[in-house]
Amino acid sequence: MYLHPRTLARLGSFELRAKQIVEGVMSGQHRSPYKGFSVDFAQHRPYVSGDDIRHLDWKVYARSDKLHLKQYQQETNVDLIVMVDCSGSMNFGSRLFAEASGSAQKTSIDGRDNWTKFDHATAVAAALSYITLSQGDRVGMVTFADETLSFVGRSSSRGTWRQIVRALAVHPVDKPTDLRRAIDQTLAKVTNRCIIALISDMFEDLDTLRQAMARIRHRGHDLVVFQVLDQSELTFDFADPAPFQGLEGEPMLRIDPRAIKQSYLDAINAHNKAVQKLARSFGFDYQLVNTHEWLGPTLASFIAHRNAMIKRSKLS
Amino acid sequence: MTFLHPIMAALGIACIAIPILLHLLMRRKRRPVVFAAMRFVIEAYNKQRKRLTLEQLLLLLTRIALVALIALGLAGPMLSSAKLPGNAASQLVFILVDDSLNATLTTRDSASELSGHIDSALDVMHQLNQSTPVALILLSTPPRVAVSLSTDHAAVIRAIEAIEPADAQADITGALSLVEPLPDLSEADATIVLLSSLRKGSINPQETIDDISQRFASLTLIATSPSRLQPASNITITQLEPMRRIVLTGNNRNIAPEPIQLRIELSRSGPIVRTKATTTINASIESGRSQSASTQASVRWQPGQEQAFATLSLSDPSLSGQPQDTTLAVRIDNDALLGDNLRRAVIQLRQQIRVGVVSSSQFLPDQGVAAFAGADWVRAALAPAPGSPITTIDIKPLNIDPPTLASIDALLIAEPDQVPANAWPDIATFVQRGGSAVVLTPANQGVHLWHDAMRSAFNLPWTIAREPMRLDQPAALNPSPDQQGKQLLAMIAGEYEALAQPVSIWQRLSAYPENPNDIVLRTADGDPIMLAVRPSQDTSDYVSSGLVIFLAVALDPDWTNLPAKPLFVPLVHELIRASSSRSLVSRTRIAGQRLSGPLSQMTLTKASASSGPDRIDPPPTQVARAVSHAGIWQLHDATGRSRGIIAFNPDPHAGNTSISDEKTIIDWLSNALHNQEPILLDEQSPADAINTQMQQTNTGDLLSLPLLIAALVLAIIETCLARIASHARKPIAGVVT
Repeated sequence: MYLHPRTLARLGSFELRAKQIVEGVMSGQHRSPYKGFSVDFAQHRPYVSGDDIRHLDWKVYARSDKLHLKQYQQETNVDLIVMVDCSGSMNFGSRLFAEASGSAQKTSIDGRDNWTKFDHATAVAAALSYITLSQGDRVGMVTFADETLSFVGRSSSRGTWRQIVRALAVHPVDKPTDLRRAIDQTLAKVTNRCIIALISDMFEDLDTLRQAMARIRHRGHDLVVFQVLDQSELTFDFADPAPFQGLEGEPMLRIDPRAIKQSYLDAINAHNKAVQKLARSFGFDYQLVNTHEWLGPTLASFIAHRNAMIKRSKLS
Repeated sequence: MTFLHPIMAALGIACIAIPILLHLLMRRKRRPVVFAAMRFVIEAYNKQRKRLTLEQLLLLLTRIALVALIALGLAGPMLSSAKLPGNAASQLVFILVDDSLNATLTTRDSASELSGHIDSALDVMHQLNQSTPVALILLSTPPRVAVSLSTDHAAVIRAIEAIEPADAQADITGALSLVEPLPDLSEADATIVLLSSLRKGSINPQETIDDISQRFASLTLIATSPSRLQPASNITITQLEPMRRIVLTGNNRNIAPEPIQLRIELSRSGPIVRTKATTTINASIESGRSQSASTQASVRWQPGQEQAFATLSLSDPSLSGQPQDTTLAVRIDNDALLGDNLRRAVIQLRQQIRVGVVSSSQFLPDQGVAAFAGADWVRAALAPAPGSPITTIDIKPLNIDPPTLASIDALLIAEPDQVPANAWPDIATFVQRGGSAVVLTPANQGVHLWHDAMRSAFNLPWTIAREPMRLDQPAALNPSPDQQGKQLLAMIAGEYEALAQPVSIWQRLSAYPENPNDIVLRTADGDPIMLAVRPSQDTSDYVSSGLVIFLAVALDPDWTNLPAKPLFVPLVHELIRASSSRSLVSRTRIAGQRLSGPLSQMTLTKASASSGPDRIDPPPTQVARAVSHAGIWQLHDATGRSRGIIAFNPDPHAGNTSISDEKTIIDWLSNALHNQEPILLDEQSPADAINTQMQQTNTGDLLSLPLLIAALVLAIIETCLARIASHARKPIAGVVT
């Protein structure tokens, strides 16, 4: 179980349509934000009095002697590709597993007693996938580190959920992140425009991130960045001097954490702001996810914020 | 630099390694903290690395310095090895014990205060380092070094145990002047332990104490505070003065000798001053070791009264015909200080005084009064009847020679104009040896040239006219004698004014001394008519120079009616007797006073039961000596011949038992310490407090205190540095959750 019941219950009150205006061929409930780009789906509807006759499909009238309007705003389904970071840095967490999992289970299946960023990322991925699937939209998923590790093809079938869950039941690898390469490999398998949910701690160079986002934008996809960070990474509340060891091959460093706390916080906050600014500069959404906070409110808040932004863009 | 505790110093140096070891131990293998955002940790560390390294280095150095300072401070470093306690030069101790009369004070406890001083001195000795040089100085006048600076503590302890109280006053000023370092140890520290109650009878704040602090590298004076003393009341016989030092017994055993009149002065001190009291005075004549006569009197004290006087008269028929020195003793009731309840005086008993009358004229019994010359008036006045204690011997002016002068006690020169010029030096020698000379003015001289030889022989600083001055109006005598006259005529002082009233003077020689104190009598107009002087001030302790008395009025009816008036007989008698008594040196001394002159070269043997030695021999060198114990002593010259007796009395100044003001003592004693205050101890056990203070003094000049203060400052700095380096509770900005 990756979704806490409270998370699912909270998310159930929202619909992903608040985000996307896409009229898919399968559900037809969403308005596509990719107006003018989607030519694969067109629809006719009976003419009613008052409709603009410029949109009448005269060919249909010739064949069937009935008046139908040719719809220019075509509705499409939403393809969501969830990219989950499986690099070594994601295998870190300071929250107790028993507290975060919401169940009586005190340790993970593999015996860990801490709730890692990867655990939280998989929860985010599962939540997004579940919501999308429950709305009949197609979901695909990619796990990556220095390259894509697994790929679940887009589908809206019920079996997709099981495939995604199975794909997420892996361990992070002891490798650094190479987001640009993973994005390149993912985009190579995606032909139509879709929404990419990137769930990662974003511990990448800003240049690499910029190049990756530019590639996504160039291919016309939308990107939602979920930056997953542990509480201790945000506050750095370590008291005793100790050797610090990284998860992606960094050298061990003996430090007094209180002595460098301010500098550390300055550095990580500057990085996070830069990532957020970078995403916004491409028109992408950004959400910081704290592993010590419940996921439901975070996602709900994010989706509500995103809906509001879409409505404002529509009105304008 | 040396250390008081070298082992401690070595350990302290070794302890410097402790912070280094702790620093290394802090770098021991800890359980690594796995952290994902290492790239930001590394980035932050690289920014702070130099500052952190500097902080850690400063902290480590501060801790090393702190440990080193504490260790060195406890090790007691000293700049000079001469101050080490193990070194004989490090600390000199001078124990000053008050053995004066005042220290014999006995309060409610049975032991005297001197016993307490001795106990305290012994306690100090028993706790001193064996290598510490100690000197013992006794305070009673004259102060003396009982034991010079020595590490022979056993000798010092023996000397302390042998201390006996003296009857002299304490001389703290003199005792402090004896505090001197050994010649090769001028850089040593010194501690003076002053064991005295410091009552008013033992101190003399009016006396300036010399600064002796420069004799030592450092000087500390420790004394017991007078605030812990118990008040004590005491009455002292401060003076015993016989009205005549020579008592004439006469040749006639059927006539009782004249009574001996005594003037006694008392003072009291302590709480008793505030109360009414009665003191009984018992005066007696001590002939040898027995008492022959005594009398009693009482003195009633009023509240607030500190001084009292009494006059007693002693009569003893058995004194007739005993030409010898006799002791008068006066006793009062016992009180807190027993030593000053007895006082003695020595008088001289004589059958008669022989007076030589220098005159060329022969006294004829059938001659009328109108034919009386000056010598005749004098003869008649001095020996009015057979058996009189004063006998006269006629001496022709040409017969004045040393053998003749040696057989008389006084010389009355009635016709000085007849005295050959070469006789005046012999007369001067006679006076120089204690005789008295009364010079009358001759009546039949128009021009008086004779006194040139007299003034020259006696070196008199007088101006005497050559011609007599006849007065227009007869001059009366001044109703009161001058100061010199009051002393000479003390016995008739009460009647003098009445006796002088009928005396008139018509003619006189103008005589003016350089010193107004030489005037004995003068007229009511203020013109001197009688002068007296002691020609030589070279008095010794045994014989003093006699008096020269000059009467500027001739005993002639043309000059004055004095010979015919009642004043004349007592005036002549008193002049002869008083001048003879004054020529006899006082045979009474104060215990502790230094003897000088012939007296210092005599052997003294004890003639009364008292403490102290039984015999005092003259010192081998011409140094002054003193007798510290009261009593009667027999004098013997170098040939063994007895030269009479001498009485030594307790010093009356030592009898003041009032408690001194502490501030007065501090101000006074601080003069010796270059205005540094002495340490006055209030504790009940002075010895313990003194030892504690000495321990502090021993280490007082070490560098320990500055080092420990520096360590304290460094500890504060270390605390601040450690807090800064720990970055605890440092406000953190920019935490995003």
